[in-house]
Amino acid sequence: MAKINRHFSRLLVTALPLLGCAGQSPRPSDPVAQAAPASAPSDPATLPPSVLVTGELGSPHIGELAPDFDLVDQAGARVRLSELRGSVVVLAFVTSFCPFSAAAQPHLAELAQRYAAQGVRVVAVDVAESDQAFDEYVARMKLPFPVLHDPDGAVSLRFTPTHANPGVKDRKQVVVTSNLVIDREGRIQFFTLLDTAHFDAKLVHVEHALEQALQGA
Amino acid sequence: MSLAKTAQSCAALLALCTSCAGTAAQLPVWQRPGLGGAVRPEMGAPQPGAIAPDFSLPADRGGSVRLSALRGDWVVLHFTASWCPYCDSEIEHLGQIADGFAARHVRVVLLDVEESEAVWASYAHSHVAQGVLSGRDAAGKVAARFAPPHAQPAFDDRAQAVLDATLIIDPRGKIRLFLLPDTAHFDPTFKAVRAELGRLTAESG
Repeated sequence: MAKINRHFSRLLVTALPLLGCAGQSPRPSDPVAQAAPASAPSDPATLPPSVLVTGELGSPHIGELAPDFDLVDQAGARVRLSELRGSVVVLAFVTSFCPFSAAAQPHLAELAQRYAAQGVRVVAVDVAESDQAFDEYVARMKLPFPVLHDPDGAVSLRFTPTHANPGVKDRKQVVVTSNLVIDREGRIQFFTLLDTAHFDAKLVHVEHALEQALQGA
Repeated sequence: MSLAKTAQSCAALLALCTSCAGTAAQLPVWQRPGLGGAVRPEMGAPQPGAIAPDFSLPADRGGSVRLSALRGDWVVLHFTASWCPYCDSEIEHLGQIADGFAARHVRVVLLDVEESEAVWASYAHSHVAQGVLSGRDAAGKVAARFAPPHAQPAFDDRAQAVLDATLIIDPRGKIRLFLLPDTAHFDPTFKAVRAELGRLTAESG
C-alpha cells in the first residue's frame, strides 16, 4: 500500500505541471522562490532553472573552452586560467556594489573551503572597478580565494556571451554575479547569468554542477 | 506516505485545478508577458491594492518630492542607482514615459538609493530627463519601507531589495503594479509597464 501511495504521489508531481495554468507551470518553488525565508530548497531539482548560457546566447557558452586570462589578485599574485588546468575551477564575477554579489559571497567562501581538499580552485574576477574600490572591497570581504582585478573589464567582456541580455548597454556588466564551473581540461561545464527573480544566493546550482564536474573526470 | 497525506495531495491538486479554471482568463500578474518580476503575495507588504507608503525627500532640482502631494495624478515610481547596469540601461526610457504619458496625468518619480550626493548629482545631471521628478534616498529609508520583507531574503540591506523596482500608483495613492527586477527577461524600454499604464489610465477615463 505504501508503495502504491508513493507511486501515486509521484504521479501527482508529474501531473501538476501538465495541469498548470495556461502552460505556465507553477513550479512548487516558483511563486515563493524569493519568498521562502526559512526553508529554502537545497535540492537543485526543486529549484526553478536558472539562466544557463547555452549556444543561442553566443560565445562563450557551456561546452566551449573558457577564454584564457592573466590577471593579478588581491595579494599581487598573477593568476592565469590556463595554468589551473588539471583542477576543476569555479569562476565567479563579482563587484563591490552589487547586492546580489554580496549576498552570494559568504556561500562562495564556504564552498571554496569545503571543496579545497578535492582540489577545486575558486577564483573571482572583480568587474571593472577602480583601484581604490577594489582595494577597499578585498580588505572588507577578506575572501579565502583569489579575487582578480579586471580594471578595464576587458576579461569580463570576453566572458560576456554575445547575445546575452541585449538590453544592458555596458556589456561587461552582463556577467556580474555569473558563476562558471570549468572542468580539468578548461571547458565550461556550467555558466549562469543573474536571474533576480530566482536568485540562488546559496549557490545550490553551482554546487550541483561542481559535483558533476568532479565525478566526470 | 499515508492515505491521509495522499488525500491531502488530492485536495491540493483539486484546489489548484479549480483556481485555474476560475482565473484562466486573468492570469496572476507575474505570469503575464513582461511582468515576471511582479511581487508575490508571499513576499509581504506592500502589495498592489495597498496605499503606497508616503515619503518626502529633497528633489534634485530643488524643493522636495512628496508622494502624497502627487495625488490626483498617476505616478510611475522607479528606484535606481548610478552603478546599477540594469538601471543605467533603463533611465533614458523613463524620460520617454514622462513625455509620452504627460497628457494622461502621469508623473515619473525616480529615487536614487543609498548613494552620496556627489556621485548621484553628477550622474543625474547627465542622465535624468527634464520630465522626470528625481530625488535622493540617501540612507535607503524610503526604499526599505517599500521592500516586501520576504523579497530577496538573502539581502541584509533591505533597501537594495527594491533597487530597479518599478511601481504604478493611481491618483488615490494606491499601488496598482509593483515590479521587482527580472533580469532573465530584461527590457530596458519598459514595454510591459507602458502597456499596463496605457490600460490603467484609459480605464480611469
